[in-house]
Amino acid sequence: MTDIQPLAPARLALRIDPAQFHFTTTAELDDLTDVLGQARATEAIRFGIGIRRAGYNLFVLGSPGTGRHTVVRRFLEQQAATEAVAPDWVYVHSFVQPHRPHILQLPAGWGRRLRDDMQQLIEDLLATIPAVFESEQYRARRHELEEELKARREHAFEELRAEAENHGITLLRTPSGMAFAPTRNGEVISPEEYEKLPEADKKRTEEVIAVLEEKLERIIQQIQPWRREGLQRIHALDREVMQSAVGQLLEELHKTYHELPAVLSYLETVQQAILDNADMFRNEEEGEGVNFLGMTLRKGKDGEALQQFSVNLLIDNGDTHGAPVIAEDNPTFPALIGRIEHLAQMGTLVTDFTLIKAGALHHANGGYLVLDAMKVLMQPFAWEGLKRALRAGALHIESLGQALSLVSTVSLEPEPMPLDLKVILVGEPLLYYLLSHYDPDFAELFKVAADFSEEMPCDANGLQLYARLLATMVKREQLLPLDRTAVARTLELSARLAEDAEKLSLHMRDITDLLREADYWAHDAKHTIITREDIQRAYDAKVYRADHLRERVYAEIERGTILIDTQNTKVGQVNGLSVIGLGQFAFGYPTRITASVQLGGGEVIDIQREVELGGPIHSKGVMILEGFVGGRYAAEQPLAMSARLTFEQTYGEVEGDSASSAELYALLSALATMPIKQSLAVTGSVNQHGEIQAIGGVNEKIEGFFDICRQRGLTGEQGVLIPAANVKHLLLREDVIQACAAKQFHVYAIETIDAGIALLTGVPAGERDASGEYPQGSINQLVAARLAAMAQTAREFAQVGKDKELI
Amino acid sequence: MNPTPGLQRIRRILVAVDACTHSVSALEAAVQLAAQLHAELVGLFVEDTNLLRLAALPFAREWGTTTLVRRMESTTMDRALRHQAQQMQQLLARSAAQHQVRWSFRVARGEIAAQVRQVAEEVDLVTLGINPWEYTNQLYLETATRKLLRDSLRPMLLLPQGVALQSPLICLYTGTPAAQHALELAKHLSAPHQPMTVVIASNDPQNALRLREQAAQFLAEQAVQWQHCQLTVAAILARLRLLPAGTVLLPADATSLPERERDMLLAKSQRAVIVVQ
Repeated sequence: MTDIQPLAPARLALRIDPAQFHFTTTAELDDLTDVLGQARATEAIRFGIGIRRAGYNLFVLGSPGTGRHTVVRRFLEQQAATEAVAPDWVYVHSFVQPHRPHILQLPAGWGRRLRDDMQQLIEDLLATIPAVFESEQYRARRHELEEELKARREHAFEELRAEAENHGITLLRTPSGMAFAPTRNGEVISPEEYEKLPEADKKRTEEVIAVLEEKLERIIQQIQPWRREGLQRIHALDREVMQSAVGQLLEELHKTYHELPAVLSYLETVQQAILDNADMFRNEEEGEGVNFLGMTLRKGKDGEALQQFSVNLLIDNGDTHGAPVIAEDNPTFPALIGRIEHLAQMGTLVTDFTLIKAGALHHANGGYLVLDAMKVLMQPFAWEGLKRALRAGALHIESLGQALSLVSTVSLEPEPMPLDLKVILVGEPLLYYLLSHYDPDFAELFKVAADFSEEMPCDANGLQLYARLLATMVKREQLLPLDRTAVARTLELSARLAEDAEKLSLHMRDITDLLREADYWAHDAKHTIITREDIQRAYDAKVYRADHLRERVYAEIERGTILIDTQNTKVGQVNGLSVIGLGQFAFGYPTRITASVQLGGGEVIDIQREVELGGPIHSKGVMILEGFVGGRYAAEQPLAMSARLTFEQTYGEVEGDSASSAELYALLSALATMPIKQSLAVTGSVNQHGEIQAIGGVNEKIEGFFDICRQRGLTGEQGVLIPAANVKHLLLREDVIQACAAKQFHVYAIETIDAGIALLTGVPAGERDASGEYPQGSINQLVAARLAAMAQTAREFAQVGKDKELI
Repeated sequence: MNPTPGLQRIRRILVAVDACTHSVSALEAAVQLAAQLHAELVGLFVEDTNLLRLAALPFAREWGTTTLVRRMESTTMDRALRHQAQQMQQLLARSAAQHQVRWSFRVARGEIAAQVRQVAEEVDLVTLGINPWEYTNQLYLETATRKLLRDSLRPMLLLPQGVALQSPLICLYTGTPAAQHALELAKHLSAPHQPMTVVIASNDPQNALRLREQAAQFLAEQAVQWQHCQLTVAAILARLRLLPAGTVLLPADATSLPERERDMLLAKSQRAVIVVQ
């Protein structure tokens, strides 16, 4: 007989006394400003934000719902508010290398000022320059130049003409140019008249014409150089006029930006470009053909050409207070790195510096960028792009095609922006450890880990602080206040979420949902405060919404489709316990585990493993119990048994070792041919020394077997064996606790296989005496005797076989 | 001020063209003007006998602007002139059809001024292209043009190469009969709602006032912008430079401007000019 007693009801759940809270409702409580239960993480965040060294970006690791994003943002916003505003950044056209726009850094608010000033400058130039070139002064000077240049030509031709006329020769216009012709009475001499002239006259005429033609040739040769000289002088005049007009306008800008050398340098290039491209600002030449009494059409200014003087205000921090805190929710490569847009024109794609668009890294420069790690890793090349920017300390804007050298089309290569920011990645612990292990860059770039806890101690101080936390959440969510009983119940359920009666869960998302739903049910019941019943109702309603599958499984057990015994005894059969987790709901249910033994070679066959329906941890558990059996019963003799273990009526994979103790009980029962009580269910992992180890889902497993027993009618004999190490995890439902209190159901805490088998069979396991023998009739003795008999039988069969061979 | 007979209405316009490129502008302008005034257009191509004679001379050579020189020959010149005449006729036909203008075309051979003068007797306005010579525009107009200006009784529209007829009309008023005729023609060519510019050219301020009153009385219902300048070529040219592009009406008499100065003005103005006798 065993003397293991069931656990007292008080040990089956966490009971929080509302009387320890000295308030009526949470409305009386002050908000909790500190972050509860995350001392390690918050310290890491403070450190990571404060240290200003390359590579000290942060990775905030923790489970979803533990408030990682909220806490990080709060810290960042507090810190950012005390820091200087980040500068403005603008892109401007490079007149020297048009495909490489320049980037300029300006104090916050000055970027838009420069943009507006440049826009105004262009408008002023468009008004001023045409006026300058239409002024009487300019026209007069230009006319003088042109006349002076023409006069040179005219003088040359006039001299020639006069000389020709002196010789009776005239210079005539012909269809393709000009020619010298002898005249008489103002008319060209006819060929007949010419023939009649004396030879000497004819010769003289031809000689004179030859000389005149030589001079004409020299004049014509001079025309191009004169024309060039003329154009140069006119160009110089234009430049001088422009210089004066432009200089005055730019002088004001020089004064405005005198403390920004980069801008001054840019303005110098602008001035030069304006002087070199004066036509851009001038009206069209007069005298173009129009219809008489019709409209005069004037060509508009080249808008595209003027655009090169505009300013692309990439980052405008003029209205920002403190350093920027940016959270990018869709961290694609272009969303992070920026992009260069293109316009479709006449079948081609064109771009310029005004189409450079900022990415999240640009916006966060001088401050902080928060990214979800999983999202970054899931976007093609986003992670590589981010690392590249952080390693270089500068941001190159390029398309993915350019980055991967897939595109060779000439496009823009904007000057990189120097980066000074911190990146905060938020992700699950698994991601952090995978990156740490597989990505050599990760340790260089993300040196600070802020590890968020999932739970906190459930002590007196913790309870009070947690109550304040609930009060803060209620106010933030604008819910009805909680009374003390509701606070107490919420805390109990928080412990249930943590799966530990000594802990409280820090999954704030789940707690917030519970409060919101309780608020709903409170309103539904016309309550003005949220009570314990509202909390419970919210919890139960959520379970009910999710437990459709559980209902179906229990129904099939009830209907006998799934064979489960909850009374009587059976040899080699035990009720194991499994948990199914679906979404955010998990439930337990009993599974029949059976064992059969026969003469064999000492193997324990796990049928699940044989058919590849057993996971590795499950297989490990079976091998461990095999080791136990061999170590306890076959140290001095061969194990001549072959055993088979299986989970009956399971057709999917079985994983985990929480049923290894149940499997061992079934095996021992089969070996000892001692029946096991079917009114009990078992959970617990076993080691090679027969010690029962802790498992997960203990509450769901107990409640699962309880539900099956209850739907058949509790007999007072039923219960569950759990590892003693799991007692601190017990947070059972109220109906289970009441059944235990009424001794209709029992929970036993087991430390060893011997204790468990004794409880399950009602027969002591037995301990070895001084001679190494087990007490007669004990489970161990029966198992040992059975194995010894099997060994003997095996030896006899082996001898018979040898004898037959000899014969 | 009484309107001069013949200026009441322009029914027939002569456009005289020759082998040189500046004729094209004149032809286009003449067609547009004829369309506007619903007038008939007479095209006249003169095969300049001076050129034909020159081409027949044994030593004749033609010089281009790039010092490309070639020997001139009669047959080549003859052919070139005939080709030019055909081109001009085709150009006239095309342009006239486009503007729905009645037209006729003649080819004459002889001295340009004489041939034009002969046909001018049949028309109300003579249109000529002038080329103040790219290289020699200071004082030189072609001889033919000078002769016509001297002898023609008809208003002459002179168009430099590349210049078209434009609004507004700019009338130079000196108070002479020719100036009065110019004013009448300007009024005839303008629409009432369309403003014109009248430049009072006089060296005497008192006389200028008087001339203005005189002109204003005649142009009572016309929108007019008044300008004033000295009666010198330089002053007139300076004033024109300040005015928007437009067509100038210039009195041809010597009292207004001596011939030499008038020719200089025509050569340098770079505008369409209607010279009114």
